[in-house]
Amino acid sequence: MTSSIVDDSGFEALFREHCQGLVRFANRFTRDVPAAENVVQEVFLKVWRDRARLQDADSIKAYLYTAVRNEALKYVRHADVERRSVPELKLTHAAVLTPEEELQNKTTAEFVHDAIERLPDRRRLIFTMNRFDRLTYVEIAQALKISIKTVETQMGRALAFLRTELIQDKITQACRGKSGQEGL
Amino acid sequence: MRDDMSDPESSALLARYLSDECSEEERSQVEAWIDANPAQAAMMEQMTKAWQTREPTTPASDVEAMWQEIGRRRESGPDRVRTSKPGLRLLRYAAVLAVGLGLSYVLSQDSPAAPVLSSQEQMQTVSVAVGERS
Repeated sequence: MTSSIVDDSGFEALFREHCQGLVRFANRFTRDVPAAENVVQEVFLKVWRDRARLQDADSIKAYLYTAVRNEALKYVRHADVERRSVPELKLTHAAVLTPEEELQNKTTAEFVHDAIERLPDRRRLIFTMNRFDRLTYVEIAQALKISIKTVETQMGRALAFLRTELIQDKITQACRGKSGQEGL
Repeated sequence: MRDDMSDPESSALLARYLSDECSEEERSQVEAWIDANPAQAAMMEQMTKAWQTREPTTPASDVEAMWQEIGRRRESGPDRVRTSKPGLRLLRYAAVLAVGLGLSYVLSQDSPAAPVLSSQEQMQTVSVAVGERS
């Protein structure tokens, strides 16, 4: 962020820079793109209202992710009152397949997505903010109001988990004579 | 560096390496570790792939339409912009003050508590010759 968010052009630049990324981020909670877009619009209206205060914020990017997460969680709570437990964050499955088909059709990306879904909520949130939203450790720490050390630890655990999962997959694939198919 | 999956320090360092969050010194340390053993190199290659995996795609949003809607909502309702020039703002305060004073005057006229005008103060019609003042 170079220009000030107090003026129109700075605000517009901020919106255009982060809009799409924030919609993707919000959609991981809402699992509904129009709802995610609404969430992002609400947050930017809030930013506009509070811009005088926010121009001094350490990281406006971190602020945006905090605000979008809060707003998205508010939406999820409101939309799914009757549903008992709502996973905080979930990646979309492309199709419903039998376990056999799933294994045969799985690409590296799908495999990683499945593994990410099995991470505990907080770890998955931190991992996806770093890998998908391209937030630095410092920005994640600011956005989630946690220490950088915690981010480091969680990312390390995510790596250890992916390592174990990928090795497991390789063994399974080898047993089925499909080793080397995806280079995993 | 230990290659022990249960060693949280090593995992955290490797994750920082993959996320480009480590110092030059740590970078060389990890690279030496990768070069030292083909199994470690293979594992890190896998992890690099995992690290670079993209999110399942979501349809692209119409950013322009979203921006237009924000523009509309920004200008209406309680979020109205307050970025007018100081002079203009003063003028606005003066206008509010003037309206307020005017209103209070009108109300005081209607109010029963207002003093009743004496007969002398009541409006009179005075006829005068042309060119004279009353």
